[in-house]
Amino acid sequence: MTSTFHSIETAKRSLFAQQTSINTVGHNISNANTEGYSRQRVTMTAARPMEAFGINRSTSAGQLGTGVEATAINRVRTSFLDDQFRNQSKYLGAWSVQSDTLNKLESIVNEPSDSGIRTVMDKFYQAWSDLSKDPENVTGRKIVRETALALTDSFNQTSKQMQDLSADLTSSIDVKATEANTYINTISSLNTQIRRIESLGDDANDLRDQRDLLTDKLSQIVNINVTQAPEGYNISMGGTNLVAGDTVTPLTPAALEAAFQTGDLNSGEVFGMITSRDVYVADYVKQLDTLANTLATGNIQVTVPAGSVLPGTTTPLATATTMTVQGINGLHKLGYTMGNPATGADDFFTFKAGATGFTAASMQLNANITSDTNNIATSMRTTTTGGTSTVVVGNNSLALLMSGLNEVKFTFDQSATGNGISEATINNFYSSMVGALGVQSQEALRQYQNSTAQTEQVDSNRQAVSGVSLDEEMSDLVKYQHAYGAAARFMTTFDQLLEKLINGTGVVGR
Amino acid sequence: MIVETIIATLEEQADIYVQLLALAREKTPYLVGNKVDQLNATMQKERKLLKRAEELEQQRMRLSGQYFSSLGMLRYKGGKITEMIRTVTSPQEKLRLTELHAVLRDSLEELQKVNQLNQQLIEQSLKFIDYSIDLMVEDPSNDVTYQHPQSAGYQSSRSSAFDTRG
Repeated sequence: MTSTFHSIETAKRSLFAQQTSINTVGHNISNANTEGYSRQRVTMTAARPMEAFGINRSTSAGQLGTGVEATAINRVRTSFLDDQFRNQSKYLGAWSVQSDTLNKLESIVNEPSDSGIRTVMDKFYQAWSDLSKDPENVTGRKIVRETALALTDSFNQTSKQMQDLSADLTSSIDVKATEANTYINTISSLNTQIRRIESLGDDANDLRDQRDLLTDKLSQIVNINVTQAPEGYNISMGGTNLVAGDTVTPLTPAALEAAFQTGDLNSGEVFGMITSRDVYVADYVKQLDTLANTLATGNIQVTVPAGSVLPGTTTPLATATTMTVQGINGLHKLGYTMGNPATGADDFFTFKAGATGFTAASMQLNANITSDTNNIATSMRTTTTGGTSTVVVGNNSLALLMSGLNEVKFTFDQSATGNGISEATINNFYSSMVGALGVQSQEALRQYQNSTAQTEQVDSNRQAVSGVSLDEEMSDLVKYQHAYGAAARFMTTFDQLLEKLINGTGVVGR
Repeated sequence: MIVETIIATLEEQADIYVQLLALAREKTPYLVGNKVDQLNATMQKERKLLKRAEELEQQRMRLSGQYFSSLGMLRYKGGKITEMIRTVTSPQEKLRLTELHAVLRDSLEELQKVNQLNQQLIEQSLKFIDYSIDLMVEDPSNDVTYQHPQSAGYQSSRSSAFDTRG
């Protein structure tokens, strides 16, 4: 036999359960725009029927229900999609950084343009060509000097910008390591909080959402593997444990570099940064250095015209002679300066104090030439009268040879560049470098766009499952409101019944 | 002139591949956003173009076979455009063929890359669908225990929600 007041309790449970649902709907609506929030749902089940055993068991027909119970509040989420998302977002991270770096490299190289190395080099050859028409002209000499300065400045500047980019990437790695550590620490403390709350039997939905959101963010920085254990999320990067329950292994830039070497770090933004710095930027710096070095000292074949007097000799060449000289410097040293008596010319380019060889950064115009343009050699002829050699100042053989260098093939040190070019004109080498950069950049951009599309797809799938639909929530709200109203009505009705029972019984209508 | 016919065919082919490329690019956002209706509509258009592309390819192969036969170069009967460019004598035709060759090569290469992305997107969706179905349907290969061969009744006792497989 159930209690007389049984239905009061049923109505109360109903009111409570519907109210819980309404509150959950309210929570969903208020978090409609919260990043990483997944919608929550109340699980309602019929409450356990009370039926005593043995002699107290009611003999009345059927079993009377005892109302409803809200047994759990769960979040609607598919962990499979989380895994898919994290798997894609690491590629997105890596390619976005690589594409960005290559883009910056492209703007540093800045070709084709009026200020790129190529244009500056063309102007340099053009200045020599102009000088060859009037080798004694002071203005012509100054123009050669200015264009040579512009050329070395271009090399210095490009190299400096690339070094800066490399340094920027290094400091970005530090920043990302700090960011990743923040996430790792928070995830681990969330692990502890979630375990504490869930040990009481509740679901820590909102904390779990936060933990998933942070894990998603971490997955973009480094490649991670997430496993769910009783003590919370265990996160590892390759073979390196980052989070195990409440134990944290913080990331340091040095540890990240080491993981890059061992292959534990194989994706994510940090991977993109290290690859960009050590592969792309380092490679272009090396190519540019090789270019500068070869321009100054790389072997070339030149044909010295008949009548020229080689330095250290006094007899003019009877026939045109082809010989190998070492770059612009070697060629310049075949000529004579404007000084009297005839003095052999010095190196055209030198490297800055402290440097050990020609690089794009260390290359500069010989200080003698910078201070006195008479040290630019144009002539290859001397005349000897009475034991003293005098330079033939009107001769333009060297200026002609210099201006012809843009068509001459230089010998490149292939082992330094590794791009398979051993002999090419400076222009060809440079265009192949710029071309390769363009292709790499285009490919990186494509990969970036592809991984963006794939990440968007998983995210939209995830939103379809976990996102808050305001329409749906509004219809739920109406549904639960009706149920709440009906439950209240039921309670009023039962109250009236009891009023009759208590006030009307035994008075027989008096 | 047979070369003119071939050029006309190639022009139409190039045009079709450019259209196919546009359609393939159109498909990507539909795949990302799970818009199946629009995807179906695009694929209808694509199907028509593909049919035409196949016809044209057959026609081109036949024509270029005839062309190389007329030159007595039976070895090249398959007919690559590059070989044709080498053998054609008129400069206008040579130029036109070179241009078409570039257009065809670029658009096909791009088409392949876009299709690759679309394929990856489809694979990703399919993985989720496969996973969702696996939640409800038991994998038939999970019948790892021995059963009495004559009692067929046991086999129907699967604990899956839908019995769609085997």
